[in-house]
Amino acid sequence: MTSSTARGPAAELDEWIASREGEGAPFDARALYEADLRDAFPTDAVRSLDDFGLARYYVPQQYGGELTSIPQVLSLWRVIARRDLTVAVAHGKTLLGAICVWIAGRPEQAQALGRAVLDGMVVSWGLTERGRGSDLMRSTVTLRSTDRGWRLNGEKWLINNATRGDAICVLARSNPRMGPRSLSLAFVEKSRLDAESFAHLPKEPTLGIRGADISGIAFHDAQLERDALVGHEGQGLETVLRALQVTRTVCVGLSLGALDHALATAYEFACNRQIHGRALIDLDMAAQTVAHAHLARAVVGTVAEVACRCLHVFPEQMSVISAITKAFVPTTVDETLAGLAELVGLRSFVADHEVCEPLEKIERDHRIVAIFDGSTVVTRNAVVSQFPILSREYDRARDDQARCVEAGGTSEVHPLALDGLELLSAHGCSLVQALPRMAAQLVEAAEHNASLQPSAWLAERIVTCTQAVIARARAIPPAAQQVEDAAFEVARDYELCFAAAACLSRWAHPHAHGDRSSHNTQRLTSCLDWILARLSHDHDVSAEARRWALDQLHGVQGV
Amino acid sequence: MTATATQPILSLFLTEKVATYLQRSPEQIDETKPLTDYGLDSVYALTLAGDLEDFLGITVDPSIVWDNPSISELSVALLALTQ
Repeated sequence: MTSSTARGPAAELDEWIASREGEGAPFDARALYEADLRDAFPTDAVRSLDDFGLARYYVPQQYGGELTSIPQVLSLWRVIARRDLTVAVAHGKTLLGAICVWIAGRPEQAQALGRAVLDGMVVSWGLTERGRGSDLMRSTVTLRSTDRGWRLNGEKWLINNATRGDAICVLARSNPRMGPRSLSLAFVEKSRLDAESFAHLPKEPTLGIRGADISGIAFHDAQLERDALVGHEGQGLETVLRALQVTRTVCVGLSLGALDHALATAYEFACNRQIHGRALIDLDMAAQTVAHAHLARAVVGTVAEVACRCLHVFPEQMSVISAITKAFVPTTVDETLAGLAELVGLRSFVADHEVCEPLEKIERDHRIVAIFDGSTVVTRNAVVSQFPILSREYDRARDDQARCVEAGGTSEVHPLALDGLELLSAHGCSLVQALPRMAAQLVEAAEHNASLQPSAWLAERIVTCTQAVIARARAIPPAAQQVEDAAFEVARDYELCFAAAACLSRWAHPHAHGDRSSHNTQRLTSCLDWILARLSHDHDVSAEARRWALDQLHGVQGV
Repeated sequence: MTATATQPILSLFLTEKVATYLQRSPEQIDETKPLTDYGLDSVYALTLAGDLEDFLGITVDPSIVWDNPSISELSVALLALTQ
C-alpha cells in the first residue's frame, strides 16, 4: 500500500490482516462484501481484531493499556478501513465509548474500565436521540438522583453497538432546566441492570456500513449505583465536547483507509483495462482522475497526521483543529471517491463487477464518516463560532514556532494529556497563524536552493489567499443563532489554509529534508498546488503536480 | 483594552456583547435571565470569554459562562476574578 504511516503496531496489524484474507478467513473480501449485502455483522473480522489485541490501543497506559499516541490509532484504523469500513466502525466504537471515562472519570473507575476493555468489553456511546439530531443540549433521557444512586429513563437512538455493547456511556439530563450545566454522563453496564429496566431498539437499515449494529437502547427506571456517574453532575456536555475533540480527529483514519482502498482498486483497474488497444490510464481523463485522487490523499493524509499530533502538541487548540479535520477530510474523500467510482463505473467502457462492487461499497460506506460524531455542518459551525478569535489571533500573528515544528515533525510526540483539552481555543490556531512565517522562511531558503522556488511561490500565494479568508471571517457578523451560508464557505476555505499550514510544517522544515529532501520538496509543491487550486479561482492543478502524483502511483504500486 | 471593572461596568459590557451576538438591542436583554433562554448557543456563549479577556486583560476560563448562566451572575463571578 502507499503513503502508509504504518510503523510499529499499524504495520503489525497490517500483516495480521493480510495473512487472514484468504477464502473463508475472517478478512475474506468477498465474504465481507456478501455479508454486507445481507446486512450481517462482520463477526469473524471483529473477533480477529480482538485476538490481535487491538483494544489495548484504546486504553491509556496509566490504566493498563498502550494508548500513548493518537497518530498510532489513526494508522491502526486506516489499516482496517482499507479492508472494510464496517469492521473499523464496529471495533473502534469502544474507544469512543470509553473516552469520557479517560477524560473525566475517577481513577479507580478508569482503572476498572481499562481492565474490562482489555478483557474484551464492548462499549458504546449514547449521545443522540430520535428527532433531536446533533442537538445534544436537548437530550431528554433523564438521570435522577435517588436514595441509592441514580435512575435512568428514556431512549438513545442511532447508536453504534447499542445492542452488541456490554456497556454504554450515556449523556442524560440531570437537571430539568435547559442549559449547558444540565447534562451528566452515566456509565451503564448492562450486566448490572435489572433485565426489565432496559430494552434494545431494532437495528436500523442503513445505506452504508450495512452490517454495523446501528440501533438504540431504551431505559425504564434503570437503577444505577452512585458511582456510575462519569465526572461531576452537570459536567456532561463539557466532557463530551472535549471527548469529541479526540474522536473527531482520529476517526478520519476511516476516511484515509477508504481512500487507500478505492485508489488502489481504481488505479489497478485503469492500468489493466484496455480501450482500443491502449490502457485506460493512458487516457488523459483517467490519468487526471487518479492523479487528483493521489494529490487529495497526500493532502488529507498530512492534515490527519498533523492534526493527530496536535492532540499531543496543541491540546488547548483542538476545539478548532478537530472541527477543521472532521469537516475537511471526510468531505474531500467523499468527493474523491465519487470521481474514482465514476472512472471505474463508466458503463460505456466497462461492466466489471469485480471492480465496481468494492468501489460502490466504499463510496456508500464512507458517507457515514461525514455524518457521525459531528456532521460537516456541525463542525463548520464550531469553527465559525470561533471566527472572532481566529481572525483576531491571525492579525496578532500569534505564532508558536517550536510547537508548530513539533506538530509537523515525525519524531515521537509529547505524552498525551487529555486534561489539556479546552472548550475554546483562546489563542486561535497557531499553525494557520504561522503561515506567513513559514512561507517567508521557504522564500528565504529558495534564494539559495532553486528547487524550492516553486513551493515558495505557491506558499506566498496561499498566504495572500489566507489573508483574504481571514478578512472574510472578520467581516462575518457574530450571529449566535443563524449562521449564514457565506460563513460556511469561509470555514471551508479556512480548512484549506490549515491544510497548507499542515503541509508546510510537515514537508518544508529541515527535519523533513534528510536523504529524501527532493522527494519531500516535490511532495510539498504538489500538495500546495492542489490546495491553491481550491483556494483560488485563477489557479489549476499544474501538469507537474499531476505528473508527480502519477509517478508516485506507478512507482509505489508498480506496473 | 482594560478597564477598572465594577459590576455595573461588567454588566453593561456583557449586555452589549450578548445583544450583538443575538442581533438585538441591549434594552431587550434581561440581565437576570439565563443566556440560553435567549437561544444563545452554548458553545457560542463560551466565546464571550475571549471578549472578556480582551476587556479585562486577564485569562478567563470559558466555562465560567456556563457556571454563571445570567449576565448578573456572570458579572459577579468576573468581579471576584479581577480582585
